[in-house]
Amino acid sequence: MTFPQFAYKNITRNLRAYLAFYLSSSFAVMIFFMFAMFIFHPALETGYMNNIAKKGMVFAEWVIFVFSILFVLYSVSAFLKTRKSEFGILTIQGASPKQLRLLITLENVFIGLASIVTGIIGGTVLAKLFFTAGSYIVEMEPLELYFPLKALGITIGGVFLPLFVLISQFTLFIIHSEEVVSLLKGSVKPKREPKPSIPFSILGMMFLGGGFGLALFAGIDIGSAVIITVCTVIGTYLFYSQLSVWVLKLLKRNKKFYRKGTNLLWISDLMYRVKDNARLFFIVSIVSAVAFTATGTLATYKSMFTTEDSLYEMEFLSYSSNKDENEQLTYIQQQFEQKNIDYEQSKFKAIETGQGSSNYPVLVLSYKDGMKILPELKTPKLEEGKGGFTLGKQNEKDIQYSKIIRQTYN
Amino acid sequence: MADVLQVQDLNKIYDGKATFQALTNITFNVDKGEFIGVMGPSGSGGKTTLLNLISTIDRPTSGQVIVNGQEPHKLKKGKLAEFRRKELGFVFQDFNLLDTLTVEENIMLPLTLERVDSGEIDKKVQAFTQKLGIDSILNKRTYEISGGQKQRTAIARAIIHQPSLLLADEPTGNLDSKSSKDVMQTLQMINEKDKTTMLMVTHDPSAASYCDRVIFIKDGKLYNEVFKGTNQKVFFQQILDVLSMLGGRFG
Ligand SMILES: Nc1ncnc2c1ncn2[C@@H]1O[C@H](COP(=O)(O)OP(=O)(O)OP(=O)(O)O)[C@@H](O)[C@H]1O
Ligand SMILES: [Mg+2]
Repeated sequence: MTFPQFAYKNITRNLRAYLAFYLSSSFAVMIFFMFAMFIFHPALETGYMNNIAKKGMVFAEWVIFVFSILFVLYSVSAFLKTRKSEFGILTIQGASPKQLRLLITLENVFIGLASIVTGIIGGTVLAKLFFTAGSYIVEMEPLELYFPLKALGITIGGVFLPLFVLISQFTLFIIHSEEVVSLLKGSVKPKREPKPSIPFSILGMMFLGGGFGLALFAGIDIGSAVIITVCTVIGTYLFYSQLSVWVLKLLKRNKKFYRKGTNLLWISDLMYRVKDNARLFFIVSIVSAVAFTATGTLATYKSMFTTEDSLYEMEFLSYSSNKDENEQLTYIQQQFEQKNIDYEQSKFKAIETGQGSSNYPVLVLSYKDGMKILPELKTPKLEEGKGGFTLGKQNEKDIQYSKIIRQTYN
Repeated sequence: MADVLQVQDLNKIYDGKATFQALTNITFNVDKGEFIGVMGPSGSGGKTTLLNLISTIDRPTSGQVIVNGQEPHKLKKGKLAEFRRKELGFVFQDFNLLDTLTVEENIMLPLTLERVDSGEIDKKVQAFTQKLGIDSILNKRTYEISGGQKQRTAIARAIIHQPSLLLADEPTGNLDSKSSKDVMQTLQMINEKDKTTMLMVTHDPSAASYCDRVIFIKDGKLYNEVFKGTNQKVFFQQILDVLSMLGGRFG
């Protein structure tokens, strides 16, 4: 048996121990990759998405990024705990620092690559579903699957490979910083029975209730969105770490129920497990919540955009980078003529800029064009460097005047 | 003769909820090729603690351990690993076998780490496992064998690389008197043939009677020592006498 053979045997005969770590890493890669695929979709490089919705998705990706790292680090430390004694035995048998480094690096590369491959396959399938479902909600052609070079680059090279390298270092650090005796004892440290705290359980209930209550009944603006988010995040954490144990404890106290059949077994088992995995459940919940919320917000935003913001029955917005503008216009005109629809066309140039605290994207057009399109507004003459802002077809009194940054038109 | 092992003023204090002094000012020397027994009451002796400090499994609070002129606790990581590979063999009270490996693979682990040639490994494995009577279970995994077989596997792993110092924590604790005798004779043979220095913790007076000298520890302090004369029977009786003076329970 050579050392590489030993490393190979150690992994293949211990697959069960590696499985949990592999699966959770795959999950993290999958969610991250799906979002990356969406953000870097070529169809979204130009067009409506070039604005707040995309920023929202990018923000969601950052949240997922942070939680992916936490998630993977947490599962690797759980994984390590089960293997401390193994490292202790190797150390006392005289494995050199170099050999330990080789062993741990091999393992992490192996698991890392496997979960990256799995995660990317899973993410692609999920993205396909996501694109189809999303297009159904916003009633447009489904986004096509594409070869996601950028998304692949970021997922593999930008995030997860460095993460697994980091994890190897982290593992080595743990092994080198502990005495062999504590490594040897590492896996057998007894667990204390989980003790939920009643105040924290109640607090958790309040946070969760408050969060959902606000979400259902309060008006949605930036302020309440932040409060709702904070409430549900804290509530969710307390739910898993306290409330769930507390409920199981109540079940346990009911002797008649607890001592019946297999109840005794699953309740006491679940108590330890729930507590152990509280952080894992928490992270999975948050990541899924972010993914769903981002999708939902996107859909809502999209429909809002199409109904409320239109000045005209129909708008065609084309960015200066659009090379096919003339073809597309001709196509639209042909459609109108074929269906015998009477129409009037007005065309103007605008620049896109952000407005207000949320940097909400708005189109700015020149005063001259504006008067031509909306003569009924009878807007007073604007001073140098000032602009007017209106939300769709509204009265003059709704126009807010504000200073805009001077931009050159061309 | 040169001292293989020098232990000087060794102290170990466990920090925890309550600090506990497990060893107090332990000093003794061991000559090359000596076979030393360590005895003392169960639980309060500090025997495992002492072995852990000598074997670099744990760190002393103060005092020195010198093996063949080197102070292992002061070595750099790479050198320390080499020291463990070349100089030390350890039989743990609870075996510490790797359950991902077979009996044979566990036994050859020290040689694998030392990158010994595979043909030579096979020869050594065969020789040592025959002596210990475990050559028929080489391909079994550790969960398929009995406590006694595990113990003998652990012994084989500790001696296969012919260390200069063998530390054994109750190597016969799980064996019946017949197998215990076999193991002790094997250890004695290795001790005589390879001049391996040995330090063995035991609760069994008849196992201790194979040693050249027995050190008694009580409450973390050196209590007494008894040398073997020419007669093993007389030595056995002397050991029993000290033990009855010591009091406490023996396994
Ligand atoms: N990690 C530790 N932390 C605190 N106290 C410890 C620790 N390890 C051992 N002790 C204490 O040190 C004392 C000596 O322990 P040790 O394991 O050395 O005894 P021993 O002589 O080997 O006993 P036995 O014959 O039962 O194996 C015991 O009282 C034990 O409770
Ligand atoms: Mg002990």
